[in-house]
Amino acid sequence: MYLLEFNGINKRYGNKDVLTALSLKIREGEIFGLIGKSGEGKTTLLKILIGMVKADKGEVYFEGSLLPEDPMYLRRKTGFSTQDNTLFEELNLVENSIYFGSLYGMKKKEIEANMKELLQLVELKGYENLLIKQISGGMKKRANLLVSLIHKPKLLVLDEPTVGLDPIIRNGIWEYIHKINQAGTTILVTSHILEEIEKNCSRIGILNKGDMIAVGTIEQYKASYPKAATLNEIFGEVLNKSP
Amino acid sequence: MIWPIFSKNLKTVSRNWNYFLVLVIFPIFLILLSGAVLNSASTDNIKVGLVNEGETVSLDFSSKVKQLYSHSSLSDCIAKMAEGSRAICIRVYTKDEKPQIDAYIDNTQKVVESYTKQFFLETILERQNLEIGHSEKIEDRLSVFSTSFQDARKELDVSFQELDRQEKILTAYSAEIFGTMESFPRDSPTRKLLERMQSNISNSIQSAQEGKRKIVVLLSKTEQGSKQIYSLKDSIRDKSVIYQIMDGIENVPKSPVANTFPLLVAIIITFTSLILSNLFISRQVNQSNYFRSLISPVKGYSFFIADFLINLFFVFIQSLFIFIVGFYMFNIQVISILPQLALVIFLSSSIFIFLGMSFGYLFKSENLSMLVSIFVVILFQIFSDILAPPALVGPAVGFFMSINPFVILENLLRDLIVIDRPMTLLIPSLSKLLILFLLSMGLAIAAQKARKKKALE
Repeated sequence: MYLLEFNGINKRYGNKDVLTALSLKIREGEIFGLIGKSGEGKTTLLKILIGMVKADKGEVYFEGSLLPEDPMYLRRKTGFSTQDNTLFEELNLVENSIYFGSLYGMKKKEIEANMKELLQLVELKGYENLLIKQISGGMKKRANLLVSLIHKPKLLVLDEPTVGLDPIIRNGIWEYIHKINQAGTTILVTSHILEEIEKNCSRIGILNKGDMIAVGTIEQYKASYPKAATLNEIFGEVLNKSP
Repeated sequence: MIWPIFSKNLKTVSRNWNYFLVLVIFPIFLILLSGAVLNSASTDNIKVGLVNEGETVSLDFSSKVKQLYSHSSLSDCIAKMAEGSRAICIRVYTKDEKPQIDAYIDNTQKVVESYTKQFFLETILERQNLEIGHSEKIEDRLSVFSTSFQDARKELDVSFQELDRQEKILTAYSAEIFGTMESFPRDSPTRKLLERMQSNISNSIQSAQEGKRKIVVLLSKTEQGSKQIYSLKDSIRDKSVIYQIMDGIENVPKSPVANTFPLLVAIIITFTSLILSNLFISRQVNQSNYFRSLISPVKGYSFFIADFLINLFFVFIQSLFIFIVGFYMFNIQVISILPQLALVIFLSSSIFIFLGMSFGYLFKSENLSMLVSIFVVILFQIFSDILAPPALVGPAVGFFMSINPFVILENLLRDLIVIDRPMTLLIPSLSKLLILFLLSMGLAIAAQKARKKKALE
């Protein structure tokens, strides 16, 4: 079953077509990797996905139903985490969670119950009462993941989740992403570190010039491009073949 | 939804010591420092040089000038003035056997202006007091005359009534005698006696009537006299503007701090409301957590109201501190006018907060946004009576001054704290503030929407 479907999405900024008749289906429970060169419409697609930007044309289905005009519906169903720290440095993790949870209409008790589970998941138990500015960079990433999941979204969108981190912390973050996925959250992730995408994503979509030019598992890609040993090489070949 | 955002804002601001410094410590320091400066300011400190060339001229300057220095020549005194150690030189001499006084002042120094104002004010008040003395004496005398006229009128009334009573008795007596007289023969001695008696009674009746006529004339004259005295008293009172001036002056506190306190409060409220809200919004929109707030399922107006309220909350806390300091340090009485003050501060600080928020949303660079806010604060102060008295400026500048929220705030605070004016007289100024409140709110809402649109692109 598909959690999310984009059908013929168009988006134009001024005179520039950013997305052109883009179609994409994301299955429930998968980790979907989205790759593409900078400026090819990746960020716009993510913004449409989290209800920040409205598509000019096309339809978006969530859990099989056509999305209503109101972007608030999709915002409640999705969580979003970027490469930046999007938490308040002067607040601790509990206060950040209570604040962002309350923006999703959650009661304090509900937030605390969710926090208990998520603290175990991202292994931040014992650090929840420290101010965000007092914890390390890796912890901040995990804290961001926790807050993104506080309202239990069906879909978690991660934009460059490991950029700027050392390899050990990066591996740690991917471990948490897998744990979150195993706990039942569908994940859409973008990254320029293609090795990570190759290693961790169940399916991968390649975006070029505002269109989704290829979607498949790493095995399917390798079968189609036998000469390419890595996703990096596959990406190059796909782009070369693209008109 | 507003409370969680307000609560988060409160925590983030209260945990930042820079805000505490800007919001509480600096304004209190400013008030205390201004109070100390103003308390020490006195015309007694002005050093006046005296060049007395007229040996025979006897003038007592020491009662008015506390720091008087004698100089042998005018050039010596002027040289001291150029050095800055004398503010004024007074030269006393005789010309054509008449005493002359010349004053030499350095116009480049503002202290002279203050001294001149003070000197003239004192001189005028002395003259006014003298006039009041005269006026009061005249009025007292007129009151005595008026009372005399009233007493005389009462006496005349009583006399009139007595004559009237006598006339009636005599008339009745005359009628009785006439009846008795008819019963006697014409030539009888009794009848002749009765005829003489009746003639005498008729004369008495005529005298009474004459007396009554005279009294009526006198009453009319006393009436006119009373009216003239009353109109004279009224005209003296009307012409005596001194009463009104003195009434006005009596209400004004003599302490320079009390008179300047509204201006200080207006400066602090304008500065902090605008700068704080600008700092708060420009920091907020430039932080990455702004993005997380944007993608939450909360309508923009909830953030707008909560952000406005947190700024207003801090301005009120700060105002409270300032008024507490004013009360304890300078005896500024505001307790009886707290609701009126709260309304004035709410309207005016909201205008500045909305403007600060607008600049925070409109300018992407925090530094540029802050510079624009400071520029606007200075602009408000330039278009106020700090630089030029409103009575002197042209109509265009005068119009901008009249709609300047800083000027309106300062005037309202002065009306409330210093002059103790009733609220009904403040309605026109409050209406202006209300219109500016709505306009600035509209600007801030538009700026927030524009910023959000830009951020989402």
